[in-house]
Amino acid sequence: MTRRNLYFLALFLGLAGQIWIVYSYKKLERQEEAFNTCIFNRVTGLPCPSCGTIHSIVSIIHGNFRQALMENPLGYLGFLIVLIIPYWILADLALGRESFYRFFLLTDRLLKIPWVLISFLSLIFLLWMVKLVFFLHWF
Amino acid sequence: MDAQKADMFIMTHAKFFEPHLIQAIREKLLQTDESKWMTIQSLTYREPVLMLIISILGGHFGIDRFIIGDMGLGVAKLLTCGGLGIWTIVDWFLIMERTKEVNFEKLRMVLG
Repeated sequence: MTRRNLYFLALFLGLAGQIWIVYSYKKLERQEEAFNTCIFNRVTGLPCPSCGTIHSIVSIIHGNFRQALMENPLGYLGFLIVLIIPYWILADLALGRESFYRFFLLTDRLLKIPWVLISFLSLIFLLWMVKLVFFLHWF
Repeated sequence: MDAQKADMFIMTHAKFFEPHLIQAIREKLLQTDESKWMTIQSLTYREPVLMLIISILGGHFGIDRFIIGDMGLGVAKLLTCGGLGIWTIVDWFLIMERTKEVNFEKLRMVLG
């Protein structure tokens, strides 16, 4: 992937993520349910590994860190990524550096090492299983 | 490498690469040393149609991106519910082209 494509995609995703968070935040404040975009959830009725991230992020903004952890621990990661990456890219573009691109390539290379990838995916799978058990237990 | 072998490779592997690159691959193969033939033959390529099926079934979790080796994008797709479902659909149309690109990069690494 070229640097230009990556910056365009990441900037778009980051800004879209921020808009999505603001939109969901306002919706959840009025006690309405945020719009469900998860295809997996709509088809099977079960939560997918990243379902609950937006609730978790909103909880973090409110300062309910424990509740955020209960809703989805990936919310912390998602919140950091969405918060940092657009500004990192803008700073890179303004200063003519390519630190984000190098970071991306490093992550890409790191995740190509089998045991790193397997442990990362196992962790997400484990979190998902815990969530599924809770979900099936509650309903 | 002699023309017969290059043509045989093109005939059996054309579906793995983008059509506009076929001619360039053939020329590159003709210039390549005979000793690389076994390595080139033993490379495994991703099947674009299979990747499309995987993208339809598991694209929501970024499995298609993980398999073709775009790890960073795979993680991004996994963590965002398949880009709120939009990226999943966009990838149904992009994944075959990307698979062919990855196959070409793999071959180019061997051909030098």
